[in-house]
This record gives sequence, C-alpha cells and structure tokens, in this order.
Amino acid sequence: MTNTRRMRNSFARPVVLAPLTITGCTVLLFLVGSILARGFMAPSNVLMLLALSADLGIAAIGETVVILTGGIDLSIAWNVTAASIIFTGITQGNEGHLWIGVAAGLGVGALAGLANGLGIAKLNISPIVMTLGMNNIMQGLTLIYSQGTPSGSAPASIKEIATGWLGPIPIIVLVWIGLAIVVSACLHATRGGRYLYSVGESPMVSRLTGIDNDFVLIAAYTVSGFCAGLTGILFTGFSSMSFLGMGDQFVLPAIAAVVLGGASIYGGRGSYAGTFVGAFFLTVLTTVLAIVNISIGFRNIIYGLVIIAAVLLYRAYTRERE
Amino acid sequence: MGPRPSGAARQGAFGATVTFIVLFVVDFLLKGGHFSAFDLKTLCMNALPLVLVALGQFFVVLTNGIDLSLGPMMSVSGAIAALTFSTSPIGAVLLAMVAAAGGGLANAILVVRLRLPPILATLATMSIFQGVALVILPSPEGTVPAGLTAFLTNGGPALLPVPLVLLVCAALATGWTMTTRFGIWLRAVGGDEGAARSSGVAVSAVKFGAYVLAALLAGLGGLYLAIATANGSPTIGDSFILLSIAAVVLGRVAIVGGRGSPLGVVMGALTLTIIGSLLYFANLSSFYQSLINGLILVGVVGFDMIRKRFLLAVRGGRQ
Amino acid sequence: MLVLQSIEKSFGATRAVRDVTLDATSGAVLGLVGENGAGKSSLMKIAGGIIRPDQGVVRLEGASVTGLSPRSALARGIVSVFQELTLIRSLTVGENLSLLKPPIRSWGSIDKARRLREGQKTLDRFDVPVRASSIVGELTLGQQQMVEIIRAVTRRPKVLLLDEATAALGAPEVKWLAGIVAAERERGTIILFISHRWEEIESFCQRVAIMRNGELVAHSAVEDVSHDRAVELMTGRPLGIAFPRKRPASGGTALLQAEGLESDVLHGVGLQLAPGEILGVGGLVGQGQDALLKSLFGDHPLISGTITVAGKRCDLRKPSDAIRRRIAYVPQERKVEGLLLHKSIAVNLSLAILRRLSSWMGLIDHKREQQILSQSIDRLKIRAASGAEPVGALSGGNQQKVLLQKWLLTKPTVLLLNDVTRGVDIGTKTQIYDIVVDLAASGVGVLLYSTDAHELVELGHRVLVMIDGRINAELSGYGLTAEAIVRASIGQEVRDGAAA
Repeated sequence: MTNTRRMRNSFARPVVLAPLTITGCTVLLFLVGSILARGFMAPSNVLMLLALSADLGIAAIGETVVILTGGIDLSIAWNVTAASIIFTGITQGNEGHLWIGVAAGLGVGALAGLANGLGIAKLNISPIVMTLGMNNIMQGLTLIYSQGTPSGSAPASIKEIATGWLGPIPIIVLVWIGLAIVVSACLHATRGGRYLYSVGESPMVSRLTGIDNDFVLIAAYTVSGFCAGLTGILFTGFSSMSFLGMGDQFVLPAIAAVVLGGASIYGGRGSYAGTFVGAFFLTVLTTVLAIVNISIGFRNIIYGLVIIAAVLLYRAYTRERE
Repeated sequence: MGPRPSGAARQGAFGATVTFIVLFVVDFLLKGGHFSAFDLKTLCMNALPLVLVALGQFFVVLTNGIDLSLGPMMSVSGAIAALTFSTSPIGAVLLAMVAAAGGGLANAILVVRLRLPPILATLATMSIFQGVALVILPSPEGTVPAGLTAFLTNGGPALLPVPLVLLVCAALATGWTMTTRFGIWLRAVGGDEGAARSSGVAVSAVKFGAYVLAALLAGLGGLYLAIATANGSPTIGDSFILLSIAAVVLGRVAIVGGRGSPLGVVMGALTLTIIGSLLYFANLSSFYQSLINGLILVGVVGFDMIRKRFLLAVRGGRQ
Repeated sequence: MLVLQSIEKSFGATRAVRDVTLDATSGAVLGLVGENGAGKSSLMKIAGGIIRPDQGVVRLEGASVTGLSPRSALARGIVSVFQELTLIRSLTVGENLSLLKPPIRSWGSIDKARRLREGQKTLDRFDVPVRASSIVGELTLGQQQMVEIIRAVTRRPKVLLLDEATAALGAPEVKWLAGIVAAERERGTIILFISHRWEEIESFCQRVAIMRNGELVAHSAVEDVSHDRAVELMTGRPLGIAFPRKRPASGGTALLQAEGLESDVLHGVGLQLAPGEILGVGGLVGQGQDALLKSLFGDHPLISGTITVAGKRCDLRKPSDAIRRRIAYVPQERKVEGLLLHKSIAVNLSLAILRRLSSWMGLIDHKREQQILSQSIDRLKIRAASGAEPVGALSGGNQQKVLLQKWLLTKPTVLLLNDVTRGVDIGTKTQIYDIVVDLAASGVGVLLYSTDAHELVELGHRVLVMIDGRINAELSGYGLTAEAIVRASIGQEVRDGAAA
C-alpha cells in the first residue's frame, strides 16, 4: 500500500507542489526585500512589481505551451525585437496606424512561430536547431528592415496600456491576469489543451489515439511566436522606443520561469499558474539584487544558481527518475 | 535503425566539405580571383576559436547532450589570461585552463551526477559563467605579450601560418580521440545510453569526460581569442553559444547523438566563418550575416531531413 | 553455486516477487517457467544485477552480489541476455563485440582491421551467419539475438542468464543455441534459462523452477515434471482458466477485409472479419502479427494490398483514418503505446472520445467526463484510490482495463487486440474474456492476437497462424486445438483444419 502511495505521489506531486513552492520562495524573497528597503511589501510596490513582470509573463505563455510539448523556443529574443521594431516602424508613434502596427507585430511573431512549427513538425528538425536558426533569421530580417537603426515610437494608447493605471491596478497587470486566465482555461478545460499535454507526454500514445501531433506542434509554436509578438508590442509601450537586442533579456528568464513553475522540460507536465509565479519570482529576484547594488556579474551568477537550486529542490520532492 | 554511422559521418563531412568549398570558391571569385597567404592566415585565425569550441560542443552532442555554457566559458578563460599574462605567461595559460576545467566539471556534475537535463544545467551555468566573466573583467582590458599575439596570428611561413597549423592540430587531435576507446564509447552512449550501460560501458565516466573535454576546448578557444585580440572581453564568447551548435549541426552531427565526424564539424565552422568574409567582399552589409547563418542552418538540416525521407520512400520503407 | 535468498520485489502496487529462495549450480541448467507476470523475468533481472531487490540477498559462491550495477555484475562474471537487446544498433557487429576491450595500437587508436578480423573469427567460431562489418540495426531480430548471445558467451561468464533468448529465433537457431548452452554447461557455467516453450525446457534444462504469481511453487528435476503437471502448477488450477462460452458468430457482410497485404514484414496476407466474429491470430512471436494488426489500423506502411472496411475500399495512412472508420486498436505495450501514465484515469479514458465530450469551442464537458469515469470504474471494476489517480500507479491488470475501456468507449465496429492479456492477472483476464465475448455477441468484429494458444482456442471462431509474415494455416471447428496451433506455428503439417 505504501508503494502505491509513493508511486502516486511521484506522479502527481510536481503539478501541485511546484507552484506552491515557488510561491513560498517568492514570499521569502519579499521578506528579504522588505529588510533591505522599507515599504517593499507595500501593496503598491507589489503591484508595481507585477507590472514589471507582465512582459516576461506574457512571453512565458508561449514558452510554457512549447515546453509542454517537449520542445523549446529559443527564437523569442528576436521575435520580440522584430515585432517591436516593425510596430514602431509602421506606427511611428501615430495613433492612427495603431491597428496596422499591432497586426504587423503580432503577424510577424505568429509567422515566425508558424515557420518554427512547420520545420519541427513536418521536417523533423530538432526544436533547438530550428528555433536557433529562426532566431538568427529574425535578427537578420530585422536588421535589414531597420537598417541598423530602428525608427519610430510607440503610440500613446500602447504606452497607456503598458504604464497606465486603472484605479489602483496597473493596466498591464489586468491584461496579464486576463491572459493568464484564458491560457489556463485553454490548457485545462479544452480539448486542445488535453491534446497538448498528450503530445508532450507521449507522441506515440497520441498518434495511436488519432491525435494529429503535427497540428498540435505547429499550433504550439505559432502561439509562442504570437506571444513573443505581443510582448514586443507591450514592451515597446513600456520603453516608448524599440531598440536592437531588446528581446534578448526574455529568453533565459522565460525558460527559467516555466521550469521554476514546475513544468517538466521533457513535456507533458506543468501549468501556466506555475509559470506565472515563476515569472514574478524572477522579476522580484532581479529587483532585490538591484537593490543590493551588486554588479551585474554577480546577478548573473546568482540567477544561474537559483535556477539550479530550484530544479534540485523539485527533484528532492518528487524523486523523478527522468 | 539508422544509416551507417561511419557512412553517415562521412556523408556529413562530405556535405559540409562541399558546402565549404562552394562558398570558398564564391569568396575567391568575389575577391577578384585572389587568394593570398594573407587570406589563408586571416581565414584560419578567424575560424580557429569557433573550430575549437565547436569541436568541444561536438563531444557533448555526441552523447545526446548540449552545452550552452561553452561560449561564456571562452570569455572567462580569455579574461583570466588577459589579466594574468603580465604576471606570468605560463601561469596565465594554466590558470585559464584550470578555470575551464572547473567549469566543465561543474557541468558534468550537474548533468551526470545530479541528472539535470543538459539544456537546463548548461542554461544555468551559461548565466553563471557570464557572471563570472563580468565579475573578473567588468570591461574589456588586459594585456597580452605582443610577441605571443604576433606569433599566434602572424607567425609561421606564408603557406603554413600558425593559425592553420593549430587548426589542423585540433582537427587531428579530435579525429584521433574518436578512434580511441573513448571515441567508440561516446558513440555507444549517444547511440543508446541504456544499452550502453547494460553492455557494461562506464556511461557516467564517458559523459563526464565529454563535458570536461568540451570545456577544455572552449578554454583553448577563449585563450586564443584573447591572445589574438590582445585583449580580454567578458562578452566575447556570447556569440559562440549558438555558433558552436550551428557548426556542429552543419557538420551533420544530428542533435541526436551517436554519429558524426570531427572533420564535418571543422568544415561547418569554416563555412560559418567564411560567410562573414563573403559578405564583406560581396558588399553586402553585415546585417545579412545572421540571416544567412540562420538560413543555412535551417536549410541544411531541413534539406537533410527531406533527403532522408526521400531515400526511405524510394527504398519502399524497407529497413 | 548461485543462491537467491528471500527475494522480495514490488513495482508500485504489484508484488512481482514474493519471498523466493532458489539456487542454481553448475552442471545443471535451471529452467525458470511461469505464466506472463509470474515474476520470472523480474527474478532473473535481480540475479543479473539489473534491478535491486526490495529485500533478500543474491550470493555467488558465497559472496554477495545483490544490487550490483550492470557493470559490476559483468565484472563478477554474471552475464545476462534479455529480450531487450543491449547491442548498440548504430554500431557494427564487430564494434559491439569488442565494445569494452577493443584491440588498440601503441598510440591509443583502435586497430580497426584487427577488430574486424577478431570479430569475424568469433562469429565464424560460433557459426553465426553474420558479417562483423554489418550494422546491428540492419540485421534481422534473430541475427541480433544470435550476436547478443555470443557476445555474452565470449565474456567467459560464471553465470549465464538467458531470458526468452529463443523468442526471436527460428528452429535451426534454437538448435544452435542448444549446442552453445551445452558447451557452456560443460565449462561449468551456471545457467538459468527462461522460456515459455516447454519443449525447450525439456531439451535445454536438467532442473526446473516453476513460478506463479511471484511465488516459487516447485523446484525439481525436469524429468520429474510432466508438461501437464507444469501447466497445472503455472496456472494454479487443474483445468486452467475458465473461459466464457463461445457464442456463434452472427455472420453477414464482412466488416473488414484485407487482401494481398505486402510490406517489409508482411507477405501476401489476406483475411476477412465477419460481424460478431472473433478471429484469432497466432504463431510464434515476431512472425508479423504485430505488423498485421497495425497495418489494419494505419500504423504500418504497406507497399501494396487492399483494405476494405464495411464494403468500402480505404487507404489507412494513419491511426485517425482507422478510428474514423470505427476501428479501434489496443496496443501491446500499454505503458508506452497505450496510456499516459502521468495522467489520471479520467483523462486517459476520454482521450479518444474528446470530440464527443466537448463543445464546438473545445470546452470539455467535465460533468459528462466524470459520469463516464464512474460508469467505467463500476462496469470494469477498476481498482483505484480515486478517479484522479495517475494511471501509472495502478496495477498492470487495472491499467489494462483502463486501456481497453478507452477504446470500448469509442463504440468501435472492429476491435483489434494486440496480446492484451500479457502480464495481466487471472482475474482481469477473465474479465477481459467476458468483455470480448459480449462485444462479439453484440455484432462487433474482434481480431485477437495472442501468444496464449489456449486463449485463441477458447475464444476464437477461427484462428490464423502466421509464420514469417505469411498466413500458414487457418484453423477452425474441430481442427482448432492448442496442439494444432503449436504445430502450425512451427510449420509442421496440421492434421485437421486447413494448412496453407
């Protein structure tokens, strides 16, 4: 009987425990922060930090979906930048061009994601190679389009969404939470979500159950590209301008957020709730490290160590044998 | 189950060599039909760091792993060397290599002992090594003995410049390694880790070796970079993270392990390096470089996959 | 002497080995027999150092060899040959044979020519018709098995463990193996031999140990045990399992028809499945039965041949094509091909019918899903702590029930069963038989591949016996006996019933 329980736990635990663990770590971090800076735990500061995490959180939606299929998306960096640069390039800060700009930005991201999905599903190219290559391609295309100097700026409405407040709550936080609810619903309550988890856990079982693995993969990468595009547009609202390399800061943290949130890098297990907290945690971590005023070098080191520690912690809980 | 390993490796190396030769000829023509000793030396000098780190990545990929931290490792070893060269040249080299070995050991422990997925472990160590490089050397500086720089970049007779010699040595050394017991064990582990373990192969030791060897090669690459540029830079290795993987892939080592040849990897690295020169002489802006890198990467792999599927269909599904 | 003392081993909820104490000596090959799931494979893996027992010790010549790694077990002279081959498929035979100690030249490189020569010499010495330069992955399963066996023998083992080593071998190769085993016995090697064919036990072994449900029920000299007595001991009841009464097939236009199926494994296979008919497929393992079933499900590429479903010719290129035509396939490897082990019973059950359970937007009707879950658990008496329990934590029998129900829920007209009672306890087997018979009575056509000849005889209206990708015999009526199936499986003339 104890064997059954142990086995059951080794199967079920990560999904439940991981988001709890990372939430606990976040709370701890807040305590540390409040020691370092007065008012760190004040609600307005928490909301501020949530607003800061939103862009990463939205980029991580795509990464979550892709990692759930057992793959990875290394092309977020230049997808984000490309979307942003096209967005500002088309709108030129002009409110009238807003929708075209948005469509272009989202379209660019989605198309890049679609290309990723096609290469991975139909040509059997490994996700690392495909998305790496796509990252380079997007970099090249963006450089050519902008000729090295991105132009334009974000229209006022996007700036408002990115930095404005609706009463006590930053608008971007509302956007993020809204998206989080939609994503979670899709993952856990829809047919598509089930297929996603199925393909991630076992492509063979999925295929033998009649699921179209290719379609699921292509959809997953397209969503990831779309989210990267959305992140690019929203981030532009935050920084007003677009600049080269602005997407680079999202890749590693997005993957880290997904893993910290309890998803298995091999696919099939995880939730967006976990990623949500993971993204928040990482942003708070960066902020606390900035307060401590240590150099960027040490920040990078601590970042890497935190990821390792978190994964090992989960391992200790679940004793997964993967 | 799969195509011949030695055959596929030869095929891969063949494909990569052909690609390189084609690009080389294009480059030759663009230069107006010249290829001087200077060009040879420059090509080898530019390619050598990538060749070294790509050969390191090759070993890791052979075991079905991946190492994203090799780039920053180059920065670290280069930074250490640049800072300590003035004190003691030999000490500088030793210290740099020890650091690289340490990094490799860290990766090995994470992946083999603690059984973290390679992509996660090396993603984390990538960040850590980037941090270490920045801590050691917040901004590019350092000194390298001028004589050493001159020798390693300009030294040697016209037709046999030092960079070329080093490149050939690296290729030969790696080739030799593949003919040893370690080489066959690498291929066994990458081909089927479970079967290898059941067959009595010391899988953990082999994987350990792969990650440490990769780090040492990356260390050498970083060392050479620092000497050649007469400077240490904390971020110089960053572009090599992806380039090393690209070179390995181009050399037709599938990112699924067990097959491939060092020659293919060297050709892949040379190909990627020569693209830069091509762009310069074709008067295309360097903006096109990453685009072309990406297209070649995806194109080559995609074409290979299509070719395999075509062959399979032609054979009528017969295995 | 090799001693296994008080060995206990459980996998999750299943107690695979219960307090088994056994010894084997040199000079007498010990056969290990038992039904699927009796624990003999687990016991052998424990002896070979592949698995660690929960309790108990393994001693070789007095020294403990419990829980050694495969590497250390090999170093101590304990060599295992399992059905899952340990050859590296991407390397050549020569490379595999010399994997641990290849011949090296003075500067460290492997002497490739010598390796090839020595490898070929070994192959020739043991009469294995394989070239040392061939890539293992390109050999037939039988050839791979032969190479695996001689690799084991060249390690000069003190203990040689053979688990179903003859499964992929044809008759001449089995004879070849007998010679090798005899030679090893002469050398003084302790040999354990698992096979589900009694003739092999009789010819290879001097002693036999019989296991049932994880326990050792008998251990004696082979000559002291008759086949019937052995079967009795293996199954635990004198007459074997109680099968449900066979109902006559309803007949009518064939639900499924196949003609001239040709692939890399199949050669000119044809069959017809009438409504309400249970068509059995038998023969030795690896003769194409797996491929046949998969090809009828769109999971095996065909070079030529036609498949007709409900009178209409169709092209089954992928499983969804077959599912759309109400064909269901229950695969052999439930853990790898059939179930998502980390997901709950509910998720697994509904995976094939999600379209029915969700709205056009894709939202799943959770209430209906729960209804189906509780109905299924009741109907099939699935033993689980809760519906949310991950399927991986269930026992093998219960997992099989979930898998079967998953496909029953698709309301198929044709059900393809790929050895679904393997590794399943008797209680579940009986349940599955009842379900199959009831299903057939309601008009469903069932294609049943089984490695258990009794099952085929008791359940099948007709049985096709395959050899080498061809249908060698079709047995029915009075000609449908276990003996006839066995004879047809090895290519012997069959007295009653049709032989191809």
